[in-house]
Amino acid sequence: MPANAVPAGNHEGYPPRPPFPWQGWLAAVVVFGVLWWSAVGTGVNLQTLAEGWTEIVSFFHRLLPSAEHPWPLDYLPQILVRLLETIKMATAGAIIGSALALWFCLGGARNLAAGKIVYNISRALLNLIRTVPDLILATLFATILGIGPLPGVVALIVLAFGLVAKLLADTLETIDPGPLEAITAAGGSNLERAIFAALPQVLPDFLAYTLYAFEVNVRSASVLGLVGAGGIGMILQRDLAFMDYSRVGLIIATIFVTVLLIDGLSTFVRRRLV
Amino acid sequence: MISAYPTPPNDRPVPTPPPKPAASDRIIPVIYVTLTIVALVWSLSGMDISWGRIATRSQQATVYFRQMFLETDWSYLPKTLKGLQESFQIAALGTFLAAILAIPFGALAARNLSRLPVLPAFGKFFLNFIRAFPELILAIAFIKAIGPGAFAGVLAIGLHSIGMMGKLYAERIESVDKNAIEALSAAGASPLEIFRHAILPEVLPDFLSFALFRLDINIRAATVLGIVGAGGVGTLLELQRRGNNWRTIGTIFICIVITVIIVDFISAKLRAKLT
Amino acid sequence: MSNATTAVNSSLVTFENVSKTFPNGHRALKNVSLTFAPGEFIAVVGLSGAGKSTLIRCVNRLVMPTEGRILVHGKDITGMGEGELRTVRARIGMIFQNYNLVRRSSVLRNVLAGRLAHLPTWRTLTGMFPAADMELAFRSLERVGIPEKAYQRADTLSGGQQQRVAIARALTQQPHILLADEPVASLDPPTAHQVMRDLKNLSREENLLTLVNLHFIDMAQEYADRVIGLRAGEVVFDGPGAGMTEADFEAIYNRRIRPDDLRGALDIVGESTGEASALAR
Repeated sequence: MPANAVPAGNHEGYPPRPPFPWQGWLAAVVVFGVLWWSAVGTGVNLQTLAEGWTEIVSFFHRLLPSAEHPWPLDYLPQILVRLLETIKMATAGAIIGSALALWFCLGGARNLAAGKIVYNISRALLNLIRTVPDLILATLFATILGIGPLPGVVALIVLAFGLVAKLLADTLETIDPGPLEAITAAGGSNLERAIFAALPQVLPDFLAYTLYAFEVNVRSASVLGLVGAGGIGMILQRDLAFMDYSRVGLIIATIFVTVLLIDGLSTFVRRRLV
Repeated sequence: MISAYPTPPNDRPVPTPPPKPAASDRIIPVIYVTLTIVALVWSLSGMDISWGRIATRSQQATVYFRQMFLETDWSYLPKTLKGLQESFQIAALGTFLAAILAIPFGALAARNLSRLPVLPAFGKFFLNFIRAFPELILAIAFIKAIGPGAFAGVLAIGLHSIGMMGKLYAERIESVDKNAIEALSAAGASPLEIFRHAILPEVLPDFLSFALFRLDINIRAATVLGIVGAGGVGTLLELQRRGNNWRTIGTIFICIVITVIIVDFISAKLRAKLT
Repeated sequence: MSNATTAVNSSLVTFENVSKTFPNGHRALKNVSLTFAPGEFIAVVGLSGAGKSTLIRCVNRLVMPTEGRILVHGKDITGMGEGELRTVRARIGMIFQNYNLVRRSSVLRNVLAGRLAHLPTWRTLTGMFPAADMELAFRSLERVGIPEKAYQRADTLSGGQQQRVAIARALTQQPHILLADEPVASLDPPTAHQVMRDLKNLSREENLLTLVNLHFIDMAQEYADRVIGLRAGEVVFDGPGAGMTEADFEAIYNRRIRPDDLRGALDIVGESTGEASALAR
């Protein structure tokens, strides 16, 4: 037996078994409890699921084109018009939102800020904005500003702003302080520091974040229409309400293809940015 | 003595400022900015923004704002909390079910787990297909199938999350450390055994992290689902919105924000313990 | 030059005209024929890219030869199906330069992984290892001198300790053959020598055929009975390490010996120094 062996646990010369993992079991019980409570509260039961299963399948089935219910291809131009509107909304939201984020961050990042108070307030405000679900914002804006793409754009601006500002703020904290010092030493103001030292360093990341915000916006924009905030979601909601499923299927297929294309496009552009 | 040059701080040598970019390099940012401005103008074109209407509505908006936050109707709190409870339940259940069910889908879509490339290609496509459906659409679909209520919300969030997490799982599996896999393979373990003993121990903590992050997103989604009738606080919100009761809308809004902040906080704490 | 006196029947592993050409065109092994007997301790030396790694990985078919046959226990592994290959691999232990442990799992779980191929699937998938296998795992850990680390996470151990866990894992397979691909390249000299000594002792005590890839020729000479030198995929030396001359060295490395080809002798009270001086003649 080696000289440094630990004396007997429950086996001669072997180390004692590790203590019973109370933490793990307690966590498991808590999680299980929460899930059980959730299941009861939401009325989840397998019977309803089993009964409704055929309904669910037939719903999705009705979305697909068939001989008697082909997709109405003459409806496509209308869809594309709305799709264009959606993309415009997403673009406007992404550009304006990220521009605002840039402005906000250069003022709010820790190494550039006027002081700790400003920094903390900015960060708190940022987190607050990001907690509100985009759809709730869109609904509220729609109620205030009326139906149409405008409230959608405003909601998307807020969404993009929250997204880009958080990512940018994190990035700004990791930049090289050298050029910043150089400009301070040469007598530059905070603004000059921000523009000439910080900005060039974060620019590629900023562009990547803007692109990401655009992607997220496109996804959200398709749904905003459901609450009346413009874009393809509006005809989707209308056709769903009228149960015109072949139209719904065509719309969803269009959204699917669009999302795929944008995914691929943004991956391509992002690779060329790096 | 007055020095012609500014004294560097802390006696360190003055770092050289970044060199000025060449002329050709200076054109590129100008191009970017021009393109961006063009894109912006294009995207805002065709939108009928009647500034007059915005002006009047902004005035209304300030009234609404005041009602929401300064004249908040706290008597509506019990109902709001009950609605939030349901939203949380929807999010928790949906996320948990998806976290488990996404494992086989993620494993299917991972390129390093199958010898035939057709399986992971199909897996990835299937996951992309699910992901293309926003939760709201799925919620509407499920409502048509099994009726309105929280159950439809659970299914909608669950299915969408399987798509999202399945993709994350697959990418995580594709980046596992190949070394341990090689060693177990050399010792004669079967692919399933390798998955259980080399891959799973490495990826499970990360899977849990993904699930917690997804919970953050899902709690937000769950609050919204009620707007189309899938249960939770959204139903109340829609009700009050139609009635233009901005004071109660304020209650709901503030409570949603607080709930999301709490869930975010807990999730971040738990995720920190996992790394 | 080869151990031609060994009868074919007692050969454990035989390479018959084995060649390996990778898909990118690189010819890693060219018409290699070798015989290995049980209990031999063999060091494989050569430049990086000479084919050492490929050669050793052919023995358990981690690399599939493009030509030729490899016989293990008299059976050709190049034609085997997955299931049968796994039974063969179950008796071949392998240790790697980077230890290749499951970092987040405990030392004990890592060692038990050596039993995976020996147990029924329901046991391996649930992780319910029988008492006898646990016993074996503990005994392997004792054998390499670190039984007290059993429940620690593998990545909390030092390099040398992790390699010993890897050896314990290989031992738990109760192997007939032990393969080691640059096992000491990531370790400091004293630890490296310790690991080599452990391997040599194990090989002797268990009568294991041991094949070790080594970068440093003096280590090869010190520990191995037989040294195989590879150059550009061909065997250019095969014999006892003590009999190596400068000419042999040049044949393997295509240049004269340099100080950084030698790991350095270890001067420990009671230990003999390395044979580096032999080549200095």
